[in-house]
Amino acid sequence: MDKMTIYVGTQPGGCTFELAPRSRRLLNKRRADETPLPRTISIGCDTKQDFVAILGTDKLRQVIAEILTDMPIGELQQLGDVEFLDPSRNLATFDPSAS
Amino acid sequence: MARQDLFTGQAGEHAVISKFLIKGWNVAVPQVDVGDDLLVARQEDAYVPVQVKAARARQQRKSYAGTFRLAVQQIQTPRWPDLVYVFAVYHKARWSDFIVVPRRDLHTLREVDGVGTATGDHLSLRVSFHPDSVRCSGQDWSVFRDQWSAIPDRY
Repeated sequence: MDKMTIYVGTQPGGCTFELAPRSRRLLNKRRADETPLPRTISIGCDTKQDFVAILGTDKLRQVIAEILTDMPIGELQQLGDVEFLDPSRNLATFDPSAS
Repeated sequence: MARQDLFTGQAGEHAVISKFLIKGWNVAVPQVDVGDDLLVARQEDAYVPVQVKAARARQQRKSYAGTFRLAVQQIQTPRWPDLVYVFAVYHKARWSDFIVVPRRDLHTLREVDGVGTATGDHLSLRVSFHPDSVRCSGQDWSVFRDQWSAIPDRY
C-alpha cells in the first residue's frame, strides 16, 4: 500500500494543492488514460474563517484528491491513505486553522 | 553570508533581469527581499515569481561548476502561479550560463531522483558545465540551460 501525498501551500486568500512527485509518478505508471493529470488546484476563500471552515472538512479534501489523481476516492483509498502535508510546518498534516 | 556572496547574488539578479527585459518581458522587484526575488510577466499582468541564485564558477580540469543553496521548504511548497528558479553562473568574467527550472520540476528531481545534497533545511546543488552537457547529481540538465520558456505564458 502506498500513501498518496498532497502538498498544500497557503497563499493570500487561499491555498494551492499539488500531488507529491512520488505519488504522481506512481499514478502515472498505473493509469491507462494518457490525458495528463492536473498539476495543481487552488482554492480561494473570502475570509480566514471561511478558509478554516471549508478546508477543515473531509468533503473538499476528497474532491481535491479525486481531481488531482483522476480517481474516485474509494478506488484511491484502496491504494493507500491520502495525506495532506504542509511544507511550511515541516510536513505536518495540513491544518487550516494553524496556517 | 560573505560580503562577496551578497555582491555576486545582486549582480546575478541584475543579469537575469537583463535577460528578461531584452525579451520584452516586464520585471518587478520587491522593495525588500524577504521572499521572491523577482516578478516577471510575459504579458501585461501575468506575473510569475522568480527566485534567482547566482554563483561564481569553480574551474575544473575540463569543466566548471557552480554551487547553489536552496530552502527545501520553498521547493516543496505548491503555489499559483508557480515559482521558477534561475541559476546564474559567472565564469571567465561574464555571466556564462543560465539554468531555468520550474519549482515543480526541481521538486520531482529531488523527491524522485534524489538530486542535490540535503543539509538541514537546505538543499545544495552543484551544477557542472561540460563542453557538450550540463550535469547535476549525475543527471543531464542540458534541457534546463536557457529554458526561458519555463516562465509560463497565459494559456
